[in-house]
Amino acid sequence: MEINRTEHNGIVEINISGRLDAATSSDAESVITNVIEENNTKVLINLENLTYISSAGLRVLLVAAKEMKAKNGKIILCSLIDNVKSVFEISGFSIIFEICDTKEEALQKF
Amino acid sequence: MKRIKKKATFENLEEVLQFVKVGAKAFGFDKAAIADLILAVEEVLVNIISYAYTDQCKSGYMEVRYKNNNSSYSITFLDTGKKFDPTAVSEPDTSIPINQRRMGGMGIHIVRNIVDNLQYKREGGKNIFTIEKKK
Repeated sequence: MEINRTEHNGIVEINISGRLDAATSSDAESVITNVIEENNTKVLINLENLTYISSAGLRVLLVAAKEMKAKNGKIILCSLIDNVKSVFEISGFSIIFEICDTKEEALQKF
Repeated sequence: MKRIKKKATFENLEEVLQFVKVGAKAFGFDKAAIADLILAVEEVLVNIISYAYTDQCKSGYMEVRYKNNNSSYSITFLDTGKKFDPTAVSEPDTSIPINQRRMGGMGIHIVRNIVDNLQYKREGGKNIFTIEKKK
């Protein structure tokens, strides 16, 4: 799993690639929590290179979404590949998150 | 039937997943079905690794067995940790708003959605949990 952040026009983009599972979720959680604690209120989580997510990974995203909600900020996810999308659907996460097909589409929603 | 028995640690998780993957491939599942199945197996194993032995000073093992008949592939998980019946975990409400949502039970919820049958028994101090997926 690799995670990195970039910023454009007040929107923080977090890019997570590889596997987000029990082994990698705590690293991802600390990066995302930092971004939220810096009072960024517009966060795009780009998952185009995420190949696998388990419930441990979903938990990280849920924690982030809750923290963001408390700060009245917004998290948008984008570019999920098919098997990641299917885990979101199975868990009901596709309803509770705002998910866009492309990064361009997501950027316009902030 | 094939089996693998390892100490219940995250270091051993990948090896056990690979073991199941080989069996699922030989059974003839397609790539997408294998990916789903591996996710389900990982959810069960992570539960065992994370919670089964937390009340004890010594660590324990996780054992996985798989077998197939003509139409289905079944995987049995065994551990000697504290009693835990995954089939008794209530379904999370996946429609409630994010700020009220809790993560508990999400792993088993994913498992339920992937496989066709779940079975649990406690026997001889062991948790014996079987999942079955049809072709």
